[in-house]
Amino acid sequence: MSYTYKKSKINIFRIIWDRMLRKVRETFIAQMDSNKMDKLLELGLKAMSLLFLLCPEYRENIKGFKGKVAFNTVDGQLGATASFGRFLHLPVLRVRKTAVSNANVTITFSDGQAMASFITEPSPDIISGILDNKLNFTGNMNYILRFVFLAMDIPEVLGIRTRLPDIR
Amino acid sequence: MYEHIDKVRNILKSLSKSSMKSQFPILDDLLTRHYHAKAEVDIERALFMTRYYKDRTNSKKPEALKRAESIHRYLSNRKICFHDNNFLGGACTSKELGAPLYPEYFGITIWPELHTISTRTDNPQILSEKDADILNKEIFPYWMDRTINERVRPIEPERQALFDKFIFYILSKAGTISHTTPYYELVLKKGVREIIEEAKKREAAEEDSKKKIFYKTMQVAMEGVLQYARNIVREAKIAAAGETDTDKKENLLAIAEVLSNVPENPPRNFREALNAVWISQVAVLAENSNMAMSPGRLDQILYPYFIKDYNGGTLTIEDAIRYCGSFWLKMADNVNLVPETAERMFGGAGAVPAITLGGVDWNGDDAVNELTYILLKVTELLPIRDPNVNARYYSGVNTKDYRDEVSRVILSTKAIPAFFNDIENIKTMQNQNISLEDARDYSVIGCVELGASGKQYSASSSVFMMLHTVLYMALHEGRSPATGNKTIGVKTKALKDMKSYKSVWDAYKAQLEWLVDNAVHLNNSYGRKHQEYLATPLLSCFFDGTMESGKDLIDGGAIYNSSGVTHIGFADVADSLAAIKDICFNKDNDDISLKLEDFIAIVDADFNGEDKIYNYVKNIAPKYGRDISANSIAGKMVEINYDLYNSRQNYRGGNYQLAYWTMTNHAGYGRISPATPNGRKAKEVFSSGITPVSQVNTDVTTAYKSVAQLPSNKISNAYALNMKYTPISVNPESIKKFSALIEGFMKSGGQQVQYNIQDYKTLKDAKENPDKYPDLLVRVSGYSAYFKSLNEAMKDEIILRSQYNMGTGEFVSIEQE
Amino acid sequence: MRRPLIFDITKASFDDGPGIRTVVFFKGCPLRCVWCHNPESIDPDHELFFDSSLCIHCGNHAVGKTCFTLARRDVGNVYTVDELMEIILQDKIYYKSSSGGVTFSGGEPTLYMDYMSELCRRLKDEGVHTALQTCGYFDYKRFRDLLLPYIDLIYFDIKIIDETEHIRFTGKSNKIILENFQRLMYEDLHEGVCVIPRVPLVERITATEDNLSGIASFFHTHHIRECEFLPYNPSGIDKWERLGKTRPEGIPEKALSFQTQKKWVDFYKNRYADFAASASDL
Ligand code: SF4
Repeated sequence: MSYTYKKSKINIFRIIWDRMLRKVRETFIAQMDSNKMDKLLELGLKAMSLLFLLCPEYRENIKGFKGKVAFNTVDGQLGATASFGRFLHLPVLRVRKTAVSNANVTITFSDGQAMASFITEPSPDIISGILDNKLNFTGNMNYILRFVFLAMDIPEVLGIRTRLPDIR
Repeated sequence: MYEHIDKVRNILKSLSKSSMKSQFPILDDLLTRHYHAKAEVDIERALFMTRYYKDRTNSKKPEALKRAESIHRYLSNRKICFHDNNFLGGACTSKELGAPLYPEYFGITIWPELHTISTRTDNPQILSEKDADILNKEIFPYWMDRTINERVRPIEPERQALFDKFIFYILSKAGTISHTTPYYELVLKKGVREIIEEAKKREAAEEDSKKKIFYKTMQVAMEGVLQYARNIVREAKIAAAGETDTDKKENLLAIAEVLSNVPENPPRNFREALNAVWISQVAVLAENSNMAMSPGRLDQILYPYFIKDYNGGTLTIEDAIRYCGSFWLKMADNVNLVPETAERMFGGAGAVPAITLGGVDWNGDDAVNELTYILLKVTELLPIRDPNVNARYYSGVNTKDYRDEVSRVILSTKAIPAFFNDIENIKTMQNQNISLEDARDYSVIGCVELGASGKQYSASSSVFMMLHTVLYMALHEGRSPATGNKTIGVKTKALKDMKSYKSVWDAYKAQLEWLVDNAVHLNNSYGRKHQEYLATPLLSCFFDGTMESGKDLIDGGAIYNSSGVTHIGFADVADSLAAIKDICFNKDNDDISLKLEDFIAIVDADFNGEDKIYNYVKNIAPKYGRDISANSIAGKMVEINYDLYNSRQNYRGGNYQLAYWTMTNHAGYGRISPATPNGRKAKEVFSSGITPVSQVNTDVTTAYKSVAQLPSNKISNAYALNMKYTPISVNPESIKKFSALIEGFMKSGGQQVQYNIQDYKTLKDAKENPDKYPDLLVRVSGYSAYFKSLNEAMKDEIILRSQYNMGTGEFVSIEQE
Repeated sequence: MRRPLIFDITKASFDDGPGIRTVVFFKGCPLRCVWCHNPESIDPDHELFFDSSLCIHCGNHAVGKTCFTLARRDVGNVYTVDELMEIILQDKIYYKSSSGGVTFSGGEPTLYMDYMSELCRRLKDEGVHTALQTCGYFDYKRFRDLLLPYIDLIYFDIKIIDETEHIRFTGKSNKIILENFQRLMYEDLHEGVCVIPRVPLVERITATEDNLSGIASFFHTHHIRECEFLPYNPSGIDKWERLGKTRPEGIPEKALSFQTQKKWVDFYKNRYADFAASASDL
């Protein structure tokens, strides 16, 4: 494709971000330690939550959003929930250490490794995960879509935003 | 009967692709623009709909009325654009080449891709930052609990979960119903005003409250169409006033003049008739997603207007080509919105509106008229992806000349149109209780499906059944790769307990029945949710039967109310079953004999280290398309499919009609599927449509015969047979022979056939150097696509297709060339 | 009756006569044309194609089993007349739709006069159009009595007009061939049969000024107005190796280009016109 607008705008932050993710992936996946997996998930969600607090632009994404996205593994060993809601008038993300039962959607990974690779993937591919039987979900798929968007949006709002072309 | 055919054909002969520029500069310019246009996501409709519904979140208004009003609102407020010099007014989207986003369906699936859709490598669809923001903050949040599949999920969690896994079945109702041929003739005969008046009268006289609402929704939706036309008139006049180029100015004023009359009133001339049809199509797409909404038999419905003007001396053949060419390019002004993940399965598809030419009329008489030839010429001059042009042929009633001419266009464009056999197709439709007259008036929907024009709400792509998954489950006690070790279907016998081929077949049948049952139930649940939330008042106005019955199409208002099922992996599964029978249960096989469990273990290990067995399966085992034993298995597969669906009904009280076409799914699914017992290794593509597996060494006429012998009375929605030929020089002699070959196929019982006149070398080169072949058009599996826009799997599949040398008739293997 | 071996049957050919045709290739030929593009057609006996690149050394063939990889392929199969009829008639629907039929090629089908006679008689009974491609080297009387009544179209090769050259490049004198051709044209042309002479175009062998002039003169003398040219095509060149034979020296490796082909056809036409002109001068 001749359309290279975005490529040319890829900047150093993006590269660092991707590297960082890869690093984290490698370390965690290599170690296959359930406890750490748990931490990783929690950590990721907490980071996200923090970003909502700190970054008004990012927070805009979840204005008026009420919903819960739960994560767990088939064996039930790992789990967490991202719960979107409001604190006073501010949209916030609360992180719980277990997968709650009344989530809008629950994503179940085949194992900790699958979970780790999913949450550290720069652009998570749900379909591949489903096809490979790495992940499964119950509940409303659109909540996953929204969640993935929020994850994908992080590098964009971290001041390393690669602007989309405005064609008008 | 059509007295000017010879004269018209003589004029048409002098028009060729090479003289396009001089003879039809405007069409030539439109074509260039089309080839260069970049697809843009269009959120206009989504935004209007969202705002309409948001304001009425707690409104008690009937859902059907809300639907009609929201469509009305969009139609009467949408932006009017004149991107180019097209002779027709109206456009599907606000973009030059738009991918409309239908938020109530699958539009939301691009949510994760809002930042990347514009720049992805495969078929990017441009989305402005502003629009992305609107989608993220306003449109998607509203719909996230209201998309049709999320409305179905709570009532069908298990069956929906199967659907989510993708490899069992997929149901189009999550993204579209469309797939039908509306009765645009109605708008020509009556005009929208009269339809509204009639609905109004009936509403007043009606007692039944649901019917009353339906008549009301018809009026509301149609008033939106009229407002839309009025807006175009207004904007065209304004644009004309500011236009300095006299040709453009004139055209804009002409459009204003045309749309001041149609679609409100019956057209006064050919141009008006054509524009009325186009506006109707635009209107229908404002309500229904742009998938396979097919205008049908244009050469029939437009003929009275053509011949009147032609006889009256107010329309030349060249004019007709200009207008019809404009229509063709208008049809190509929209594509489907495709998320990146779906690119893999559907990449490169257009919106596949099908146009049907030729054949017989409802009386059984030759329907090939002057306009048929003109539209064939347009097809030749404008070899574009959409519309999908199909030529019907009734041997013995249509002339040989006509058959030769269609054949010539195929050889000349190397791809289009596709050929349909009236004799078999009419018969198979009658077998579905469609009256002889209505069956004769069939038109092609989307890829290949057949429907009684304007009478049959076909929903012809309702279910895609994955036959390779059925087979896998049959050989693994109801497990599938996507469920790990868990039995999900019927727990059929373990391999070691299958002592005969019959037990394999029984297991296959059991799994199939289980999946059919799930798919049908789920499809019907989807249908019911559509009935609840997604009425189709506008489309209903373009159908016979709705006005009389007082029922929306979605509630069964049409005269025929079918749903369509198609199948992926047909040929590979037939060959797999044949291989199993030959290798594991054939006492006379002196070459090889394996226990079933051993053979399947080898298959599951992707034939690794088993060259000998692999080669046997590939080269020696019986194959559909070549060997009688495999052909008969293929025939049985068609039969059990038919039997299973025949006893089931859809949510509109109609039946399920079967087809064998695969879009690009056979390639995409191949890429994600494990090895099959026919020697197809993991990740290799499946064969397309009903086509025998690629590279099976067979005579071309044997391949034709194998397909033609399938019980066509059990394939009422037709199939896609893809054949590939080495290019030959196009001369009267080669055309005649090619045409006679098609006749032979049809005479032996074939229903449909389509061609790629390409060789391996060119296609491989086109894969390597896409820029060298910017507009290379190929037939996929029922529709056309630009080769460059197909995903890699699909490109490979088209390259791999068996090639025949038209001169010698020989099969040319891919290694040979 | 001598049962011939048949080494190939192709269907739906557009190139071998009118309409859509099934082409049956007989094994065995009295000539040895050096440019022959079907080397497997020469020897009347059973042969083997072997493609070592496909062989996986499974040893199947050694124990009398099928070769699964198709590395070894039989060249030459026996068909009873019944069997062959069945295969040919499979495409009857196409013959009908295209006014096509069956073409016998080879090799040299006339080597098997009795077999051909029965086959063609039965095909005529079925209403199938029959065509024969022949090198012209056959026993005329037997041909006339056994085959001619059942053949609709004869492609008759006239390759090289000079006898020595003919012997040099085909291994046999052309005397019988030319004689047969003349007898056919003068004595036995009945209404139902059509003869089309064919001239192969092989550079430096048949496509020479001398040869084409000679052929033009010959055709003119015998009032043959039309003939077909067969441009050389090296498609069979690799078959020699697979047959385990060495290919004859001096055969061109490239197909005749379209321009060269046109050049020679024009040359022929001009020469023919010259003869016609000088004849009318007389
Ligand atoms: S049977 Fe075929 S593959 Fe096996 S050794 Fe013989 S030639 Fe080679």
